Amino acid sequence: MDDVRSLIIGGDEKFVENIVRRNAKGMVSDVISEALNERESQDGSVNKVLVPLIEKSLHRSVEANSDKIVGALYPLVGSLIRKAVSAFLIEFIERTNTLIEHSFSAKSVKWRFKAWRSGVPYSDYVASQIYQYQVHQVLAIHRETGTLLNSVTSHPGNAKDGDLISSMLVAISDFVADAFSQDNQAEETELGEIKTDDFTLLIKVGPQVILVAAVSGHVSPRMRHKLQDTLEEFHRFYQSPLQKYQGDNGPFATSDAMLQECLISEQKTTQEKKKRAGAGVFILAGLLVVAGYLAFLRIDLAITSSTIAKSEPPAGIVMLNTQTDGNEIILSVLRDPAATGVAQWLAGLDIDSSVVDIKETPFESKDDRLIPAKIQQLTARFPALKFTNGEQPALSGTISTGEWQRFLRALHSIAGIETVFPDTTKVVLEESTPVNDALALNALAGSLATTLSGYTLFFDMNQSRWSKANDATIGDIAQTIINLQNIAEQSGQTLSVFILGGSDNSGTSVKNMLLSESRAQSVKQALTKAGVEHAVLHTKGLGQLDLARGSNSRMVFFHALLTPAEAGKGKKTGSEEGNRQ
Amino acid sequence: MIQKKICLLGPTGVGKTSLVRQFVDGIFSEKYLTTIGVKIDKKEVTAGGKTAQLLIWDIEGVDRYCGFNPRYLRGAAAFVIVVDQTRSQSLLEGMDIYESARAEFPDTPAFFVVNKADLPSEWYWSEDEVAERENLFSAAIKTSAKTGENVERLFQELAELTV
Repeated sequence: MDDVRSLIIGGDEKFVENIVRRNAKGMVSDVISEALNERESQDGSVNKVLVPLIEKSLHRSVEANSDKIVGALYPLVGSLIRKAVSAFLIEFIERTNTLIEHSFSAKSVKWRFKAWRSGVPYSDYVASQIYQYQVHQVLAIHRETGTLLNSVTSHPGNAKDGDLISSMLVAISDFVADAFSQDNQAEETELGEIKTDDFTLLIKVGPQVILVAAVSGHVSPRMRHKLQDTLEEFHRFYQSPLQKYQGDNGPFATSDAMLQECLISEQKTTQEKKKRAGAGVFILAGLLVVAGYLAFLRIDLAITSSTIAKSEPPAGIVMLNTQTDGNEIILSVLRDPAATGVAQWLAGLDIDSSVVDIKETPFESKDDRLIPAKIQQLTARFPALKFTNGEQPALSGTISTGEWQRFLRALHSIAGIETVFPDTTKVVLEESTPVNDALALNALAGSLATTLSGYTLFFDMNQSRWSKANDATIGDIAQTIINLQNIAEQSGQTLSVFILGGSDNSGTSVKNMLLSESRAQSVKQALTKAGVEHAVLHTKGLGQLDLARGSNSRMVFFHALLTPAEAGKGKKTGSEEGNRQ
Repeated sequence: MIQKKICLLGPTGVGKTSLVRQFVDGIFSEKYLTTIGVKIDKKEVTAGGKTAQLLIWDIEGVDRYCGFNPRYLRGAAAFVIVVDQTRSQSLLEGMDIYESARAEFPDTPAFFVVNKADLPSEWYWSEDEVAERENLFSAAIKTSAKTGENVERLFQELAELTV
């Protein structure tokens, strides 16, 4: 064998050695990467050899080219410093806010004592006391693709769809970076937090992984630190799978334990119980106050209602019923128009009428106490008369005989007037008609009767109200009748005025009869309203009047009848004369 | 599970959202399209004996006045350019979008989809002219979001290409 070898490669192996030396560079370069990887996997010796060499080289390089290296590292270091300063400021502001909130309260004194007793700085003690939060879900997201690597949740039933949330979060982050970054700073613009009233998505961005924590409550600095630590740990543990990542999240399933460490919650159970109890007391107290107030309102209403029920209503008011309904009192009364107003009566009882619903029904009272008020109201219609309501009610003034007669008739219609009849001795009668001669009076009466007969009111077809053009005539007719009645009384006669209604011949005779009666009635009402005594007027429907012009048949006309009066009637009566004296 | 990000791109009104709606039961509201310019849905498919989850990024329609945010394509396993065979202009716009996307992501596989196959072809492009452009893509397919024609097949092929 040795002979063969010496024949092929020569005695001193210089031949082979020369060939190998010539091709050594190419042979080593072909296998160096695989060889280093294999050796490092076997015993880790490659790193042991390389690390000191690289450190030594780096040291020399920094010494020799410090300017270049500082220039290359500056952007990276600048970014890191900015992030660190930003995190510090957020933490500082949160702590400061908390300290301010709790610096001047009884609780702060208590906490200072406890911090002193425990030997911890007051700020740390405050931080440990006030932060109440819970991390509900933690998502590890592949930064480039937005796909979910792994997620853990504190309540598995309530976990949100991590896959879609991850992708949307990355899309939103891209959107924010694109929309709000300045000039070429898009890569550095990262979404750090999404916050609602009581819910925060805390986002920590690493080179390949984004860690997101869904937190409710007040996020503490401790939580932020923990998330940052976990992010760094995640990168360290899964460096290799992250570099080879092609959408398979299988290798990251083992990160559950690491992520679950971020599912922190800080809850002050004892304080919460106290708080709940406190809240319960407040709610109960509130309910009691409301119930008390409502009860007070009810009682107040009941007392008011009772006061009304027990009170004596003024003359002319009859109380029917009082009852409470919800927040008001319903008061039902009968009231004479001459009586004091109900609201005025209640005001006299110190009762606010806004809480009383007054249901008033008009009636005519016979109460003696109301008679002066009624006389007063009546006198107001006769300006020539004045009423004085003293110990002895009295009337005074100068009035025509006709007016006086009308006044007396109205006065006698007041119920119970005979018990409180006013003194009329100071009323002076002036004769409206200077002619006393019976013949002259009769002539005058006849003239007025003729005038009255000359009045005719026309109506539109099928209408029981006269045409508008005749409105003014009603007043003239009324005045004529009043004058005629005055003359008749002076001349000892009784006046009867017949109001005769007619219709044309269109329609049935029955309907025309009713229509003509209706026309006469409507004229009677109008005359009564204008001051004519009701008893003087008599109506009669004549039905169809076959006149030459049909339209003229739709009318009302008048006829005055003067008849000799019965003894004592139509003249000034003895009692009236007596009352005047 | 394997997850793959697929991006749908194309001019306005070619039917990208309708294609996704036909394929998945949407969860997110389509208002996201007009707020941040993207809507994401997911669907599980089986490809090559494996179950994969497609995360479909439906990116807001692009026109001459409004480009797309290329960051949305980052990490995509494939992107799809959708055009509308009833509008000649959509092919030109689609190709512009393709070139913009290709410039940023030269190695990402791209699909070419001619949508609205249920309607008669109204564009003036000859089959050769269309075929010439199709050659730039990993695959080309005609779909109808209205009838569902080839929609399942499109996403199935995307899954098989990327998984």
